[in-house]
Amino acid sequence: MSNASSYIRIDNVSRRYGAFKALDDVSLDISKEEFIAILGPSGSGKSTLLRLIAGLDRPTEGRIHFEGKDVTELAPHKRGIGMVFQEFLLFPHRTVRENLAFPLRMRNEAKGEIEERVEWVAGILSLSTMLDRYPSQLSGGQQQRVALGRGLVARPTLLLLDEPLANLDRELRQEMEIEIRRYQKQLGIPFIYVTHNQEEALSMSDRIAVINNGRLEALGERQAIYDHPQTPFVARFVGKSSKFQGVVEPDGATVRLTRHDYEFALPSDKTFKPGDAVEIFVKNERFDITPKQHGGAGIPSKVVDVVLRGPFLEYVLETDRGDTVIAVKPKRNDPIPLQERVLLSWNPADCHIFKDGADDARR
Amino acid sequence: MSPSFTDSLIKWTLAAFLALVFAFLYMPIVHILFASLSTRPNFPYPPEFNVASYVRLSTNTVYQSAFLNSLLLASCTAVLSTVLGFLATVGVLRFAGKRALIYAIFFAAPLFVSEILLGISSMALYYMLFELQGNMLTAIIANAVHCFSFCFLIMAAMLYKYDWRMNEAAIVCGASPLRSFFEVMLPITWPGIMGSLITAFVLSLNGLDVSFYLLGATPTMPSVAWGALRYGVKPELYALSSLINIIVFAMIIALLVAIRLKRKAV
Repeated sequence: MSNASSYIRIDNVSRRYGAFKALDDVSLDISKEEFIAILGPSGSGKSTLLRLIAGLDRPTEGRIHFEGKDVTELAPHKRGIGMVFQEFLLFPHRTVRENLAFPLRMRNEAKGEIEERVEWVAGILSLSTMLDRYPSQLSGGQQQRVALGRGLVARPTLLLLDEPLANLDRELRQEMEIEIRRYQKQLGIPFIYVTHNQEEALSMSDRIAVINNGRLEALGERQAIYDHPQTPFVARFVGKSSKFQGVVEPDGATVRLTRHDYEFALPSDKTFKPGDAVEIFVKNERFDITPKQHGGAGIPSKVVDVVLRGPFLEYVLETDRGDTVIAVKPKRNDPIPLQERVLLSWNPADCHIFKDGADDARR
Repeated sequence: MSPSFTDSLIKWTLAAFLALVFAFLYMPIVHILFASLSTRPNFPYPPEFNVASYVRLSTNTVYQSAFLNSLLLASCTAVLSTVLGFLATVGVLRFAGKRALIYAIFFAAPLFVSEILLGISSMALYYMLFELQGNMLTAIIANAVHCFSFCFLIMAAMLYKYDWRMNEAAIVCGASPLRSFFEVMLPITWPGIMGSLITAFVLSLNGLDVSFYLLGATPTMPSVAWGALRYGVKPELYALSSLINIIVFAMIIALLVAIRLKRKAV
């Protein structure tokens, strides 16, 4: 992965605050034209990583390279980056036009060039009609666009986005997700997008870096991160899933759930010793539900609620042991009726199995 | 009583009260104006319009130098105490962390020391420690000490609401720290800084006690007025006060007009 041609290179970077490790030995290579999401819960160190890339903070150890040049000690205003903040941080005493022109003025561009670039960025972000307004006169979505425009206007080396959609309502967020991704493809510069929202990360990025407790938990194509999580944390954090406890049977080829009467074959690529305690994660959309009268294997449950989510149905199931499990299925005209007794099962190849306590063992 | 009658009664009572308040505020000032324009300054009623005192003022060098000294003292004090107060505010709000309140209390505490004591102790201390004679410089320093706490309080109230990441937003846009201060932080926090400058200016322009002990023979406006009380107030002093008042009012009106014009332009 690590090579000289990578556009942005983060090399064994750590950041300590006293004894606390906000970021612990993170390495990441980002190529030009890549949209990478840095995904993690709050306090995981993802924003620290972004601040280190921006130069607003310095790493305790490790180096950061832009286009093969070491920028670790370079002041943030000389790095030629763009950045979009969660709270937008538009300059309230300046009009939209002046906000957009600000990065160009700071780079001492010629007047004609500034006008041209502001027109250009206002054009692609549909801001042309509001250039003379003040930020306080704009809606949240419009402020977001101005923030994005200010980040992009001066041809930055890369754009850093720190939860830029967190303050927008749901509908606008989905609209902006598509737009932001489009700008990235159009401009051909890397976007580094920090978020705690796994849906945003999945819908926008090419690759996802999952960060937890200051460490890089996983890095890969978004599909791979979603379908083949390598750690229990990633399995739990990316996508919506349910967790079960199980034990490997003496034959070493079957897993039996501890709380439920269900067993399934251990996928052949997994090797556990007989008697190993394991954690099993199943994505909500990977469950099979069969009516109980059809017979077969599965966790005996009953349907306690059905939630309509557009083209999908969310079945809220209660197992006989009293646990709640949510199973997502495509919408049908004849949904399983409420209170129906069903068997909950899954294809062994679709679940993710980890040794119990694997998360703690890594620490 | 009909409701409309009660309403208008309340309205007129309040209006009368407002007029009374303004009268008490401005009667002494108007009295000085009348006194400066009258040939009988001790009881200038009915008002006259005689500019003799203004003509005499133009030749009175003591009053002129008192005015200039006061202006110099007040301007320097305003700038010095505002700069120091700004730095203190930034330190407390930005870097003091958990101890911010303790620092803030110690920065504000000198407010409660009486001015006259501060004047006497500054005079004694500066002489003892630095062998500094009372002069303009020591007066500015002592006044700045006194005004600093006011400036600190005014700017802390304003900067408390300031989002420090605004500076970071400017810096990632390519602004150097200095430029981000002048282009972003200063314009946003300008009302607080302006308030601090004005307050320090007015306090040191009118403050008698601190300057009195440190300036000695150098006349300032308050010290001349104080001295005049003992030897009879001359109409020229009324003229000078009136001029200052008129200038201040003109500046306030100009400021209001400028704000109105700017708002219309938006």
